[in-house]
Amino acid sequence: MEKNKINLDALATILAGKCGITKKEAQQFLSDFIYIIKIGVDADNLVKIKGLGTFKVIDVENRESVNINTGERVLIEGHQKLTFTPDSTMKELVNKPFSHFETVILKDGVDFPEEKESEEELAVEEELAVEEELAVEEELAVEEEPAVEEEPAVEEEPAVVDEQKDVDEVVGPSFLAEEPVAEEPVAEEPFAEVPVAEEPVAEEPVAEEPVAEVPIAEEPAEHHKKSYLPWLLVAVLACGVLFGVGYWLGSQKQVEPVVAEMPAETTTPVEATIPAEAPTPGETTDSVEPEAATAAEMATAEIEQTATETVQPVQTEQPKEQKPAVSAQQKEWQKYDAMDQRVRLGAYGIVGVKETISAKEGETLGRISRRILGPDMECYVEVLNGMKAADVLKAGQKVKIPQLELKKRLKKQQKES
Amino acid sequence: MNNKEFISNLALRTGLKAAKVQDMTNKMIDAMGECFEEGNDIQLVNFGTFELRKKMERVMVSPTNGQRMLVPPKLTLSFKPHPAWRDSIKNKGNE
Repeated sequence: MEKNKINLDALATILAGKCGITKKEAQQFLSDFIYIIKIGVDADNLVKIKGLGTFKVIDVENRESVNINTGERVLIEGHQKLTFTPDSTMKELVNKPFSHFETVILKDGVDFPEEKESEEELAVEEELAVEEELAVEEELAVEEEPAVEEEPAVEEEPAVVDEQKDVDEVVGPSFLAEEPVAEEPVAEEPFAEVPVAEEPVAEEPVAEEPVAEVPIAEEPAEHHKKSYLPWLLVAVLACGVLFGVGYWLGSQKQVEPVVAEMPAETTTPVEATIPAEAPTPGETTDSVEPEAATAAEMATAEIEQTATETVQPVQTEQPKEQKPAVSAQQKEWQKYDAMDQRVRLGAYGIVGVKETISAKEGETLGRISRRILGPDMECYVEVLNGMKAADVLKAGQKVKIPQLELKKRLKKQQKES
Repeated sequence: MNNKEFISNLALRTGLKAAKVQDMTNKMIDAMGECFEEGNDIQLVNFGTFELRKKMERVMVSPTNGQRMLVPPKLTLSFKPHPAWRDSIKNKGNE
């Protein structure tokens, strides 16, 4: 299709051919046509022509704009302008070449946001399947020798790790939070940096996991013999709990609470019997017992995706100790937010003091900030130290460098906790 | 000014019967439609330009149910008034 411009003359020629009138008459008609439209627009601000469309004068409000050359703000005064809306028949006629296209509703999985969800579900299913197998293996193993028990445990971990990669933040962090804690409570840091640090942290426990599990696993041998099927069920359900609890505790960077939770969950089927021999700390056993007892009910509830109250008793003991730490951090950055507008509107929140350095003679706060945090981060340093970026420092003067965290992440943690 | 008024005004102006004017108007619109179908623009002196514009396909989220939809590309008709006329309309409000 070549784009040509048809002028009044050419249009008149076509019209003349159609109506059987002379070209001159057609031209006259066209100019009259135009004249009447103009008159109508001037008089009524509106002209409707059937089959063509509507000409309408509308008001444009005052608005501010920016002069692209100088960057100055310019006020564009309100004015009126002419709009033309084609008639529906004309619209269709014009769009004829494309009329066979229809608006399509995009299905889930076509694009990112939806994909995340489906992936998550998939992972959950996968996990269930894994746990199920595991449970079977476990039972077999339990009857023979605890040594074998180690295997399923090891198997489980990598599986979870894999899933963490797929399942994103929501599930990932929760697992993370649980696992590292088992041995190194300091593992808070990696959790904060979730996606990057995920693997190393998650993998470490693999070696140690069994230690916690094995001894406990021995006991239930007798019970397993009695009831094989129920335990399988419990194992599957327990994994539901694991997920539920994981979600629930998501953001909380747990230390002790998780220790309690950890063995409880991974070995729930087994543990329900007696944690007498269990090498877990006293505190753990305490919480384990109620959990294991309620595990079955809880899990059922979890799987049905109804957050029932049965879940609460088990979990409530844990988060208690935890929350202060998280909320303290939360308050911290909100406090700084309140202190300075630039911090409030900035992308980062101040969560603490990273380091304290002593200034050299004649250095300014801004310069130190640029050196350590990069450009445009002065406001955080200013707020933390209560000084101005241009302030010249004395030799040896202490300057606090803020520990910054993306607000997006902080807010997420806040929500989850 | 609606279609009826427009036709009667045009009839007055041209000195023809309203029915005849309506007929001619329809034919003229047909003629314009044919031009558009061929992908041509129409430029009328002292009036303005009717242009065909292609709108690209885009993804839209329905505000009511949050569904994501792929809106197909389409051709639309736009009209740009002649600069002199546009300015006269623009300044009308300020007088």
